[in-house]
Amino acid sequence: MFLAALVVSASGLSAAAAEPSVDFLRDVRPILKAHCFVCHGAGNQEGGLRLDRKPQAIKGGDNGPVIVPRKSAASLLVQLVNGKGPEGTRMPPKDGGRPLRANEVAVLRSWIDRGAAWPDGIDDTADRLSLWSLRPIAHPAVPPVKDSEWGQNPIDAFILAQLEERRMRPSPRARPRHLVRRAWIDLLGLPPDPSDVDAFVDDDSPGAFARVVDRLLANPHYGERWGRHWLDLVRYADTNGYEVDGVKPLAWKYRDWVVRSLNADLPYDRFVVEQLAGDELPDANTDTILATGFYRVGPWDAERGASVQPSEVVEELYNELDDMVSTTSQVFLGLTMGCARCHDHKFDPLTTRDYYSMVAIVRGLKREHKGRTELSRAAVPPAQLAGKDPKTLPQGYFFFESSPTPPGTRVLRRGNPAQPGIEVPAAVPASLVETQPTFESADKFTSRRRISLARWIMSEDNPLPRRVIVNRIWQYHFGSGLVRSANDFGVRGSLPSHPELLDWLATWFGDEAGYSIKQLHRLIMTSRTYATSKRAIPANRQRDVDNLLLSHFPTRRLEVEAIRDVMLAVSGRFNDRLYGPPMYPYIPRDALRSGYNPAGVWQPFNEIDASRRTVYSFLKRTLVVPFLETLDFCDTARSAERREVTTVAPQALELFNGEFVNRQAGHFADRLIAEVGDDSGAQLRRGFRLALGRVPTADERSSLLEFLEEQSGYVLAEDRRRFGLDRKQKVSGEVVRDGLTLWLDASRGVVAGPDGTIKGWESRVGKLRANSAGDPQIIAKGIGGRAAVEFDADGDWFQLSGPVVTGQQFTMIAVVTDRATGAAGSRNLIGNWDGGKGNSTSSLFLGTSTAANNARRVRFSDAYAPADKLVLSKPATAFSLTGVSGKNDARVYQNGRELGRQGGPLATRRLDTAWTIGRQGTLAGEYWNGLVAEVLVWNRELSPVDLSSVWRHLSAKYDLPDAQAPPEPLTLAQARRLALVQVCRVLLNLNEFVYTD
Amino acid sequence: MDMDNNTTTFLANHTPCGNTRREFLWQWGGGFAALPLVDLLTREAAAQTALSQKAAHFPAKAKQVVFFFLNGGPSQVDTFDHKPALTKYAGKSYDGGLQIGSNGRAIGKLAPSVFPFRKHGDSGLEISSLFPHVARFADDLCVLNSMYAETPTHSPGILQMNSGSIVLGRPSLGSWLGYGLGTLNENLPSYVVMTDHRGGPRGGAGAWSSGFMPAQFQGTLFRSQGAPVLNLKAPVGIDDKTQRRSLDLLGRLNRENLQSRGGNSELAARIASYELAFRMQTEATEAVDVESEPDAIREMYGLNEKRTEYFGRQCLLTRRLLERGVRFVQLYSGGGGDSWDAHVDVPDNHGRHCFEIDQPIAALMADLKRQGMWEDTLLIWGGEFGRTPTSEGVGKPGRDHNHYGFSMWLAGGGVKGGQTIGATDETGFKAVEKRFHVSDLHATILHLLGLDHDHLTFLHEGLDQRLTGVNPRKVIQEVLA
Repeated sequence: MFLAALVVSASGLSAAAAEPSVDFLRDVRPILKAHCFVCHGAGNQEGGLRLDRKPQAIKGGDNGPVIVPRKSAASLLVQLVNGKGPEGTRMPPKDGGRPLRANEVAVLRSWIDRGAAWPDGIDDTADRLSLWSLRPIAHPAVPPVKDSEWGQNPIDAFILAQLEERRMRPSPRARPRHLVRRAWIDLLGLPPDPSDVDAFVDDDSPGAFARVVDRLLANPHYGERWGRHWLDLVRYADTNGYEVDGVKPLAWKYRDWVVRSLNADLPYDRFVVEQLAGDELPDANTDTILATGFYRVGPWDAERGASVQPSEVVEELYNELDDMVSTTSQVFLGLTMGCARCHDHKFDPLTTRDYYSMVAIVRGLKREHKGRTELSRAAVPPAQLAGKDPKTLPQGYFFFESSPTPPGTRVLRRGNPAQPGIEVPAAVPASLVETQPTFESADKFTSRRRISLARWIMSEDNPLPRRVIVNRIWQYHFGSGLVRSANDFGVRGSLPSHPELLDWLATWFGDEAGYSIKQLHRLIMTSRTYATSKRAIPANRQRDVDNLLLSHFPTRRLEVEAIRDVMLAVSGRFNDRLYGPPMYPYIPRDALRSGYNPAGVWQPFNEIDASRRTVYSFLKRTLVVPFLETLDFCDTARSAERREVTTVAPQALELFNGEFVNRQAGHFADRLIAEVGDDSGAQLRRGFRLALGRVPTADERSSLLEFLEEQSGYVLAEDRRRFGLDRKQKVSGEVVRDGLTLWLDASRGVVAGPDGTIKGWESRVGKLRANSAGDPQIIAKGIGGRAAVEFDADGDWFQLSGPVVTGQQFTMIAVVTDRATGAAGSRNLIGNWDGGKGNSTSSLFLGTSTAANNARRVRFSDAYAPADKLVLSKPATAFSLTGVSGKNDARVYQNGRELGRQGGPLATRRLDTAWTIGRQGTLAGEYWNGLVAEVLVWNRELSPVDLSSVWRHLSAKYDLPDAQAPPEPLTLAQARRLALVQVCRVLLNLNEFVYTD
Repeated sequence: MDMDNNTTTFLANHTPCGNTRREFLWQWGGGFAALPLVDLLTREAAAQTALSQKAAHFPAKAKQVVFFFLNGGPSQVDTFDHKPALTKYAGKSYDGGLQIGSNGRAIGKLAPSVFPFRKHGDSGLEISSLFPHVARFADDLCVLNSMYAETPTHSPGILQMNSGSIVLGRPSLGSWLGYGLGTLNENLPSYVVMTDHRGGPRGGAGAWSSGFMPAQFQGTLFRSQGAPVLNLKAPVGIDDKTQRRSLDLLGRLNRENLQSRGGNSELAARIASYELAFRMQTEATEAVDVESEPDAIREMYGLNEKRTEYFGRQCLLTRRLLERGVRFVQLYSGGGGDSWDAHVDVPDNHGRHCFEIDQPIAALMADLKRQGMWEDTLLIWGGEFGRTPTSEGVGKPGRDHNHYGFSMWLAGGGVKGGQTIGATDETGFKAVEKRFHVSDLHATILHLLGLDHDHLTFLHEGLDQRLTGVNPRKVIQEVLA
């Protein structure tokens, strides 16, 4: 029977050289179908030629035979596709599609030269049978192997047989500590504790690894890890995308259903049926209804869906239906149906009629919404809804059928709702079945079309779903599936590398394992193949560059969730709370700023909550958490069959400089100190065991000890230099004179007229003088009983007689009150802002701004405004304001309390424009409103001791709140901790950390 | 081995993480992704060469692109599509049979522009008084007055103008260019997006998404001040010396580990990516140092005037990025709560927004010519759609969304300037003469960059996906110089 022969011949894929064979169904017919059938098929027979049936094709057309067996050069078919027909004719003609590619012509030639074999009686079923994935699942025997000692279960026989065929040896077994770590990360996405590694390494008894696997499968973190794989497939997110990007209320309950179902090992057939038709099951309940959230978690353009323009609503409806049909067919059947929305599938046996028949199945589903806002719905079977207040019932996020008779569905020409064609009944794709499955008739509540679809999908004689799911599970274990295109088992997809193994697994999964995914994990993971070392035998590398034959375990980078979760586990801050509403990882303010609605779009950072597993992150379609996005999180617009693995510089920036990793590095260091004390050797040993599951090598140990020594010494020396301890400084409580370039003191040097209007204000050091504009007044008891200058926010300001700041490192301190309330502009205490001279955003200033809610922020030039706001008990409260632009950072303080600090000095400031006191520009709201008692500027970065001296002086003079105790210089222990933080940062960035063992 | 089977497998696996590609590249624009332009049988040969710069389909007219995206939709009858008949019809209802009024808005009466039009340049191109500076380059502009799109809704409209489709999940124009042409400078992102200081466009990052392509092809948000990209600087408290020391330590440990494993190109690429990141800090920071430009140049871009300063800075930065080999720069004008979406008051809205961008755009044009970059750079101007000739404003001329007809312009490399192509009806409502779908514009842009829109494909969901979709699209021949 040709079927068996075909299955075997599909195994041609490998890197080893073999005599090419040409199979009509597999190789030739798809080419003819794609390029010729339109004009020479069932519909048209241009030139009297028909190529989709053997007798007519052999006979030829009006110009005689086109295929001359064994003589490709003499065959008109080959001449035509080469553009060498009579008078240079080329087929297909210009308007009939692209010319054939060279390799396609080569296939035709090769087929003809080998005799143009065309099996009899297959033309009617060819579409179905030409596609390997649609053939019935074979029951292949476990192949014999030469090395009968090697394997541990049937999987190994299939793998080894192919290796032996190519005279390849698999790599040796992985080391126990590698293997146990591999299993943990694979099943849980979390690292083993060192004690878990030790326990396994020390356990020589038979079945030790199987017991580890069983233990991990019973761990609820398993569902989180593998549930995330499923969420990729079903394009899960917490918002709708597009303009409105509204929240999907309680969508997370579907996410939790997935996680719980995997933890409970819900049999896969049931897992599928509940998602497709959980509301139509005889035993429907809240959980099975939450499962149907599957249909609703995709994107929705609410603006169009809730538009008053009927054309917009209809188009959006068909986009939603397409989302459901495409996702369903890819996820469960491994078929891409999306193309058939507009035209018959070019390659696969799927027509627009098939597509719209599938649309008819889900046509009755409705979205609960009020305008653009989506609503949740009572998650109880329709029969139990009657007479109850839905608000008292458990809520969930899913579609529902509001009537048992959905609207009719028509084929749309070119997918255009304005061009409806014939009406089609609910049906499954015609080429997938001998006869259509029975569609149940509607009951009181729903059309029962989805339950009919679900039962057909999981029926015995549908070969696709079992092949598709075992392939997916294999893919998540090994990085690639036996079929590499996990969502596309069609003509354009990949052929299986091990077709017999795939079918054996599919049979075993359905017949032996009762669709238990956990049993499938157990089978795969207890194979010898899974336990193979990651190291390749050099000869194998050349014979099988892509490791398709699995002679060694594939190296692969962890998914971003695993990277993040493992970091949390290692740092000791992992919050293992299961299930529930989403959490919000940290997003830098700069990343929020590009959003349509920068404010209020993200929840404030809560570290405990954000330290939950990454699967619980709030997934906003228009704002993906940068950490996730950078590290190849999947696109949530469509079903994602696998994660991309790119290696680009922004990933290095995120992992080396980003907030998350550096935060965890600090925690990790603290954990090491807490667990093993201050011995560097012990810290390194523990750190390596936690992060990498091994101890450092001798080389690593000496490199790292040297680093710790040097770095802690460097940190300490830098700190002492910064503190001025090398100059034996101490907190004097005086104004530090070194570098002081401007000192305006309202008690000294103010030149005022008899009415108190100030003419000028002279600096106590140097020659600078501030000349007044407007009528600033001197107030004798302004701040703390001492004199201050009053600015009335209406044109009072001073111009300085010369340049103030001359370099990019400087310190500015002022004692002031800031009375502006309500939305007010940006006001400078001191600065060189000059719009007219093109120095606005590049200028330097220290000032404030006020929002409508009176929140007052400090602005230290346009390059830096600290996140923390000024704290004032009332608008008239006096305070000191300090800005320091240093060598390594820029800082702002209120009364000596740090309001914020940015890494690196301020972006370069342009200093060549005139300096002013008390205003920015000349618009209303840009003038200072309040008192200024003192302004000091140094042309250097003041050390902490210097700052403390000045603050102490000012707080005594003006009765300001005491500055916090001056920061103490670092102790040796603190310096050693900082060095250890760097080591931890490096460990979390190692290749070995982000790649599996 | 069966060649064809293997070929099929490779194509389906176009972003292999399982070592299918032996050349691991790690630059911004490169990466492990597919080989788009390569014939099936030549793919292995191509795989041996670096992806950093790829061959075009045919000689390119332009190498780089700047897209001024007027977020919210500028009004054509107030800018580049002069409709004197509107004066005659002022206050009358439109009877052209189109649905008016996006999402339930009031259907208004026809209203002429309050901005006078004048002929400019040798070509006599008609431009309204809103663009006095850009009008100096009238003879360089190729105005398309007969554009149409598929939706009058912002977010899907923005998606369509960027990705060809109103549905989420497809790669944007800049992604296709990066995929098709590669990068010119591996130390900088090749696709840069700068949003308005008031906020981003509706629908957010979908507009510069790489959709089903790998993430390295997506647009990188650039800020025109401070650190231009996220995480470019070391964390607070880490000085340069510590940063360098820690990087060196990481490199040393990674290399030792790599040797002990006998080498792996993917791991080697990851080691290199850290050094690249370090170099990028210097290069990107230097690129945004607009202060180093002479005063005269800064003033030409309007940096001395508050209203033009922001967009001017972005335009000046754009020139600096183009000089450094960035392939595609997209500048958004309008965003957050203040876009070009002038429903209630076109004179106020467009008056402000045009003022903000007119001088900076003209400055960039002058500067590109001065620097000899004009011929290599394609400029695109427009929004997601246009606006109606009718007014829904109360007491003021405010205009609704209009995707039936609107204007865009092209200029620069390969573009024949000083001409207007296509026309809307008498009132400026609907494109009637030489109608151009958004995807026709995309086909034309790709053509100018040396790419054939029918052959620039990426296999996804069983289909050779194109920027221009499944319907036949045409290069607008009249555009080509």
